[in-house]
Amino acid sequence: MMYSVIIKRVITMRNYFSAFLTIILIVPLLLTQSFAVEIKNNKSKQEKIATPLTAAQLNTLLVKKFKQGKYSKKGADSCLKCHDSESDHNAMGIFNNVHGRRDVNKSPFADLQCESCHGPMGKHGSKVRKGKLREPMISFGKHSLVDADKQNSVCLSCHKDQQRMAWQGSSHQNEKIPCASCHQLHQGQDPVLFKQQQNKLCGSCHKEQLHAINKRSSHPLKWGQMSCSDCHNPHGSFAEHELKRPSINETCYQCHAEKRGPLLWEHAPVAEDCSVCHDVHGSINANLLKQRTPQLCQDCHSPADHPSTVSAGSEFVEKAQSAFTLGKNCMNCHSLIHGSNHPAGRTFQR
Amino acid sequence: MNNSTYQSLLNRITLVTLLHFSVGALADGFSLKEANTKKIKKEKWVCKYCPAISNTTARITINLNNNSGDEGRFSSAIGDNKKGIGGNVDVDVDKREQDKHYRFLAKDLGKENVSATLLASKTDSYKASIAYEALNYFGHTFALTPFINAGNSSLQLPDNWQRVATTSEMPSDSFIHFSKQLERESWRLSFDKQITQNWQGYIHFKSENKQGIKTTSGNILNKVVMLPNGVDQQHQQFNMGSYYTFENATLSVSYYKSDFNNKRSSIRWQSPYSVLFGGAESGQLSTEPDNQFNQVSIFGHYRHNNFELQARFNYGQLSQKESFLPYSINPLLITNTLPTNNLNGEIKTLSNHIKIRYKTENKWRISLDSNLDDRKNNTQSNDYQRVFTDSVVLNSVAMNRPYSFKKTQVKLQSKYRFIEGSQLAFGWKFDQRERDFQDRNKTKNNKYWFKISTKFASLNSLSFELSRALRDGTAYNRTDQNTLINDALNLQKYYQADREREQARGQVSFNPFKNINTEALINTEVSFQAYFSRDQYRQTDIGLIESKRRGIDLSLTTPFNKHVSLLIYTHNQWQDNLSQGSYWFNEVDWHSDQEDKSDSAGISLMAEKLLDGKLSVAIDYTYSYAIGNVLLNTSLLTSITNNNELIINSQDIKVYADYIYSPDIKIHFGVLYQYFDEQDWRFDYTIDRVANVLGNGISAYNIDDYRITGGIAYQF
Repeated sequence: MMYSVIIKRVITMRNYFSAFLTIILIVPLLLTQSFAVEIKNNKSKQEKIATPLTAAQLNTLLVKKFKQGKYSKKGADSCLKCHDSESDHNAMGIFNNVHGRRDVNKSPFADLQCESCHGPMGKHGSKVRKGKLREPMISFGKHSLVDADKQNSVCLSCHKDQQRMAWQGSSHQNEKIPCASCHQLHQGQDPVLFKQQQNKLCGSCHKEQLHAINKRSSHPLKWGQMSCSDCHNPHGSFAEHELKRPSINETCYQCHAEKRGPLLWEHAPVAEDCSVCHDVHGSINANLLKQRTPQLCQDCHSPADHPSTVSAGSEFVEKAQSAFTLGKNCMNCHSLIHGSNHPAGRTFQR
Repeated sequence: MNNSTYQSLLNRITLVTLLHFSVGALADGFSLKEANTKKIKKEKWVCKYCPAISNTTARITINLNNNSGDEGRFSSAIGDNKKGIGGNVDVDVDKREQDKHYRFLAKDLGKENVSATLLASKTDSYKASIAYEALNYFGHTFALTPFINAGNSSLQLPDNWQRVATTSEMPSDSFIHFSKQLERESWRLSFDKQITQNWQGYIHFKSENKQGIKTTSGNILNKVVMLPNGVDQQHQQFNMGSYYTFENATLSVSYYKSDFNNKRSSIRWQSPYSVLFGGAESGQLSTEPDNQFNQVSIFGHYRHNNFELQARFNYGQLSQKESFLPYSINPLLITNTLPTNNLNGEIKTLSNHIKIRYKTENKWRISLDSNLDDRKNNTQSNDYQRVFTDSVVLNSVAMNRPYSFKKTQVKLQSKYRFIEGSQLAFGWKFDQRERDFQDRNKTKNNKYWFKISTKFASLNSLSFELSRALRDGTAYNRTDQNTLINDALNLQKYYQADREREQARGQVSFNPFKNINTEALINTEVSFQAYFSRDQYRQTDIGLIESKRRGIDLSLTTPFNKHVSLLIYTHNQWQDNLSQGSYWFNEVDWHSDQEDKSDSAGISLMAEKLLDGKLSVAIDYTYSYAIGNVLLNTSLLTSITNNNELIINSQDIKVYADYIYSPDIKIHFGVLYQYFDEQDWRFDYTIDRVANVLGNGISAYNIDDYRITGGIAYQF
């Protein structure tokens, strides 16, 4: 009874919330349609506006500019005249971190200043003729049309260390993810270096994993006690899923070395691969299990392995008192399920 | 290494040599080294608009907090288990002297979760750091136990305890409260040295202590009691290496050592139940034994024009020599001598990973990945007497099985970029697993996939991916059977079973307001993602038959202007697991369908530089809901039941505001509210609900708590 009342209330709350979200998402779309038509009509009455470059045209132009090497006359002063704190493209934040320090050897500002990364100024700083667009510079980020590999070549020209050894051919490199998609240089502290912000940033693309860390049972990622980079190297590694250690199990053993063994009585799937039973990013089941027990155990073990009967439907109701379903069910007795080093521990009860 | 491994390695090296191409060089990007600086005149580069940068900054933040609760899950979220008013301090001192940099950063001093780091570095020379971190997992604060010394390695009942047959007969007023908590305290030392322009070395060391109380269960025959198990473990990891960068290549060698030490070798407990057959009054569980792991790695990377080769080899050894516990602590049992004093466990691991990439004119890219992971268990097998829960000595013996695994993977992938920003990829992946002492010696999995992705404007992109994988292998012969099941019934463990896997994923992002000349919406991005995955085990009659997962995600991000941004997302996921079984070993006579649904949603609004640039505020709301249902069809018993097994409802609200009172003083205010309601009848039972399982009391969480923080930061 209590459960049905709670379910009804929760369903009502969910209905309200779903309706709220629908309104938030759909209404702006409907509004913009009417605006779009109006604005389009207005535009046709105005003078022609220059068409932005396509990605191919942009990349060709930037390569040409880079080779020509027409740098500014005054360096950063040429840029900061416009890109000051009042600008829509405020660049002043760079001075709050090491990239903006002229006294640090190898810092971009000790070398070609803004043009170290954004390339030669060329005609970017010149007056823009009517009907034309300003000459572009190398821009960074996931919304930039500059080829990701070309963007990253700028960063990698300095940041070549053991963390980035396996970048070429990594998942992010294959998917054309620019460094600036995750890293923000024009501010004091790069948000990705803080655990909680990092997890949200990773989750902005890896949405299934972001959903998982909000589940009932997960690693402590949601509140920033752990971060994605504790297990994964986003700059690439040789292991599957860009894990920091050579295998899934070795990655788990960084924190769970007690499960490593070898043990006298090993539970074979444990020794082979932790992800056979566990959903590492999060699960609605306790202990990050993929499936609830006892069914998870019964997927491999039939009653032929056990002298007792398997759980019947009657043992799954709220008022049941069965040791096969309540508490840790199978693990009420088989508690050392990851393996045992006890001479009498063949069945993981010792 | 055995001969077959050597042969495999030799084949890989031969393959690598044959694939060496030589093609014309192409432009490779905007690397600083390739910048054309011949025409630069830097006399006028005075940087007069660059702001003055202070070489030393020091900031101290003092926070006062008020926590409304201290229940485990909420305490784990906030990193503190103190109810009521408390305080903590953050310190950040940063000093730069040209190429030298020093920093001391301490966070949450005064809370249970705390961290502190001291860093010193010199550009092109060295980087050293020492860091301390304490991380706590808080469990229930009012768990119950009959033992008077929770956390001790020998758990004892009160002197006046009367042993009874069932849990309901046990005196409830004699149960004692204890708190579950695990703390990890770690120290890290790192030193990175730039030896020459191209040569770097590093040493990293981490020592972690894990202490606290968790629960495990102990049983004597069918009488179970939850044990408040004390944890006292240490794990040390040492990693040192060196890498050398050539013009077109990199070479790296490293050594990794891991030492696990458990200060508790066993848990003993006095049984609260009446003595049963065998006369056991106490039991003894083993704990995780000490173990050591050593590994050397070599990595090489070579690049020549459009060809790239990366290879890594790891060789490791795992060992464990903890002394065995006796077969039983029950003096009434007569057992044989142990065949050996300790396991003398030894496992050798060998893995090699080779990656080859070739690209031409930025349109075609071909890559070949080859992985081998070999876990060779050289531990000796012996016969051990079968003793059942300190109560019964059986006539038979059991031989331990030192499991070995070998994984071989080959992945071939091709990508074609048909226009800038758009590409088509397709590939094949082969995955072979070899196992000994198990039901199936070898399984082979072949996966085929293709993916198309395109980015047709700044905020517009589309991708779609499809894959199919088929797994089969050698004959399946069940190794463990106490009672034979009908030969016609096929039980295959799902991680070895024949399987068909189908997966699909699609994603589209677009800007619905691109035609609008309104700055507020012009950078809006709406993103929709959907995924589907299904595993079917067609050769399995008993066990997991089918597993499905699917989901959709919808999100909207919009920076209204450079200071205000909004993110909204919603995610819905469905997961089904269908299993079958047999009571009577003759035919399939029960079906279980676990149907799980989980939803999450969030709204995040951030506004900066309000009130003349002095105020920043942010609101973060997250909603998560899950329901787990099982449909059981036991046809032989003619019953169909549909049960909600669990319902989880969670909501979090975070609000914070930062106000710049003066150039040196910043004021901070924050509120965190958490609502968490867990309805899981497996855990929601009283200590004596099950006649032969003595639990810890109610374990489902029901949290409705908040934390208010006020702080002031002063910058020197």
